Amino acid sequence: MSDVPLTHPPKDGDPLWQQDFPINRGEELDNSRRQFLKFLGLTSFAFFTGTLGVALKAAFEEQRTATLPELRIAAVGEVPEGQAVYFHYPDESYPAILIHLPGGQFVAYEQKCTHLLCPVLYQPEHERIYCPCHEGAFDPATGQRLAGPPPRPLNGIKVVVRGNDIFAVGREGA
Amino acid sequence: MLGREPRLPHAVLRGLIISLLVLNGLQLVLLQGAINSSALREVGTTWLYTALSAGLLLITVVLLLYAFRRSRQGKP
Repeated sequence: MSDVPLTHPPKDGDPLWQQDFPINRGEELDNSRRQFLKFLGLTSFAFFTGTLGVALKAAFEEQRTATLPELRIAAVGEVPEGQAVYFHYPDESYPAILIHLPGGQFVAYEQKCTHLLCPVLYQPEHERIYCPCHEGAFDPATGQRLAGPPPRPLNGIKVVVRGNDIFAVGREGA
Repeated sequence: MLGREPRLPHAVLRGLIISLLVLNGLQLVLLQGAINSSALREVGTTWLYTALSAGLLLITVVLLLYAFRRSRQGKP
């Protein structure tokens, strides 16, 4: 409680709340503004901390994926043209999809929709990679978004064909 | 007016609050930008947004210190 004398001391006829909390109106406003300024300062600090956390996580993730191991996905003959196989790369937490495009090219993506991380499916009859959760669709050749709410393209995985085998060798953009 | 006068003039306080709200809004945009660039694995851009956010935090602190000093000067 403040030492400032009350300009309007509570009287018997005042409402109960005014008798219980006899605070000067001017001082109350002053306190509210002060608290609001404090709140804005703390919010600013919280936003900076959040941004820093995101940056640190991104840097850590980049360092971690800089040296990903090679993984044999399948033999070339096991993935007919226009078909896909599902695998995990670089570990069991990251489901992925390898697609044999019409024309012979192999492409691979993380099997997580960039909207809300639902697993995506290859639909050769519609020439798209489809997310059944919210009707998102991606271009199988590039991973770019074709339709729906996903905000970004699918995360790509580098693949190489050596002899008769297909290998995942890292992430696109890493 | 009831009670004592606020120590900071209303115009100063109003300008201060609006400035801090705008700074907070910009920092929120930067946070969203950092999340987006992080998802796109553009680490350099993420760090740029972090540096800008740090700059805005610095400006916020400077403004709050200015308000504090000015209110101390006006104290009877």
